[in-house]
Amino acid sequence: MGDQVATESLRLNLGGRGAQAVRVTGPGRTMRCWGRSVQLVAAGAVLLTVVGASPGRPAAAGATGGPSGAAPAARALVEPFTTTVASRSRAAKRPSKLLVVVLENHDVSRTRREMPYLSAQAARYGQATRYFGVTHPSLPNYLTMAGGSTFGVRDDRGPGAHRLRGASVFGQALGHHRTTATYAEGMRTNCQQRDTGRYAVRHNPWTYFPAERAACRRHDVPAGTPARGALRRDVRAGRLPTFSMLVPDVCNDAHDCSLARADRWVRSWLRVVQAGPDWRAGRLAVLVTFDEATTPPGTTSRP
Amino acid sequence: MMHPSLHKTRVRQRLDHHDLSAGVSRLVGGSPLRGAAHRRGVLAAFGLA
Repeated sequence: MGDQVATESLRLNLGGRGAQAVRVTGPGRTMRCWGRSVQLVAAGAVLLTVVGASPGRPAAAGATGGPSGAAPAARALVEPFTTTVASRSRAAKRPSKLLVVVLENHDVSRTRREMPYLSAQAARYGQATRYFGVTHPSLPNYLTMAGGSTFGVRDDRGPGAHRLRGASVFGQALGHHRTTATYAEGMRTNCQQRDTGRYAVRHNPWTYFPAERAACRRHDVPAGTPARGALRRDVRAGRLPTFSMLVPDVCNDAHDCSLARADRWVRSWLRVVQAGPDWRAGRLAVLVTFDEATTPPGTTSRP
Repeated sequence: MMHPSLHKTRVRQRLDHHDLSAGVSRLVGGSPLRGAAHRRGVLAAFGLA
């Protein structure tokens, strides 16, 4: 078995000694060859498989094929490119970035019925069938995501009422020279401490960690929309942070509006995210979760 | 959980937001914080760590 890598565009060096066969599969792929290099250009996700060494064969090949699979698998002879491909292969199997999307107050059974797009994504990729919130109401669940603890918080009051001590995962990321961000929908200013419109500060946990306020003011930003704004810009540039959280407003997260609306919102963003270079290169995993819908046995469930 | 390498993966182990927090901490190169200290992390649960 060879290594596999999902790639949007990848240039390989062709050469003489120790050549390897390369098989390209996937929809809408094209392989272009010139001189001593080959470039793969993908209209969709492409799997490139290094199938083994083929020493002594000439270093030239090229082919195109469509999604029907009518064309034979494209093959090229390349010199060892273990550094480039191996590193990309690991990235494909082990994401280096995570985007977490947090929705509100619904359990798995309702989600399956009323969010067909998200349910299809979960079925296609992966789902945790026994994932639970830790308590009620919303805020301590978000704090647990961001800080590993509820901090004893039992209400939804704002950052002025809960000045938490210590680090969050956001600050931890920066402390380890990684990148991080919160993209908060409906927020008007960075790291906004009060509710406005459909923005709810209780769903933006980084704002509760005053020791990280300066970083929050830089990296906790209005999300924008799938058509424009900070998140779309970072997605399209392949500059999503190591860890980021996308916080919908209280309508699109299904707190105040329907699950059907939340499903449409998720679809609109996932289409942007999954067209971006981070996703297509396998660098990015996306987790969609709910803050407090299904409680563990023994805890009190809120209507 | 969505990642190009996943295909119809179902994780049945019990997880909660502590596992999410732990997964993020480990992803960024740190140790899980506070009550997440002994969790493997949500990425590991899906074989992504």
